[in-house]
Amino acid sequence: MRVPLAELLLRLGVAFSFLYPPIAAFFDPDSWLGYFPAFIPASMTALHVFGAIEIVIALWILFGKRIWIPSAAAAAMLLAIVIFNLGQFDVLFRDVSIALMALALVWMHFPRRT
Amino acid sequence: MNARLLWILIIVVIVIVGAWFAFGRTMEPTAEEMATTTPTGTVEQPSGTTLESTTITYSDTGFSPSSVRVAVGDTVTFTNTSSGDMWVGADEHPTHTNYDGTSTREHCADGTNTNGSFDQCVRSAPNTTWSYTFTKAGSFDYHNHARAAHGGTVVVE
Repeated sequence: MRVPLAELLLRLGVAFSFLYPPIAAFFDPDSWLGYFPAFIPASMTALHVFGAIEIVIALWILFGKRIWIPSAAAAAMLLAIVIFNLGQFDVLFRDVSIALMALALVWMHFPRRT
Repeated sequence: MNARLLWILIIVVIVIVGAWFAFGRTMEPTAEEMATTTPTGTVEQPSGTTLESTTITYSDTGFSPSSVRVAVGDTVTFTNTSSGDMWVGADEHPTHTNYDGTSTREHCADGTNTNGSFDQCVRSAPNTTWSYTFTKAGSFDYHNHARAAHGGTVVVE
């Protein structure tokens, strides 16, 4: 199936933002552990489990079917990170934009009754 | 494009930005907050001048008081009474560049602060303290690098 360029760019944009953190977390885990909300124990195990989930979401968005599912998960995760770290909004405002990109993918792929 | 969906998205963005301004942003301390900020000790200098020492307590709910006003040369001690680690550093997370323009990668080498930047550079366990002497005036937002949602402001005059 040929993917329109605009959608491909959306997929690449969202997927990249989910592939970079788990890779960076291997080299500088402290910078990423700090974003965990208080109710999740900020351990290395939790960090890498979260990273594995991010990789699955990214690959699913890039290559999978029914991508409204990982796109919705991506939007929810990004907005949750923003909400739980409002004090760092000067940095995390970008996550709002990426979440809206993910919601655009949800909108494009959500099954509709015909 | 569904106009209703567009409006919903716009409202979501406005709510998030509004919440940030209302709850997330570290504001200048109010007069009432300032009244609760009292020096906790003095430090005798070799020249005979006396500098103040202020203590900020870090708990599981954040830093208290969240804003303090001190003088140039004063020392602020951060006491970790929380159940987790504390790593005090200037905003923004995670680079800590707002104090002097240098990032954590530049001014933290192997857990040691190399240029006097406002950065603890290493996690400290519960029931430990970290002190920093402010040598220049300004309003400095900071946060716990290990829990970036928790932050505060030190105003140095």
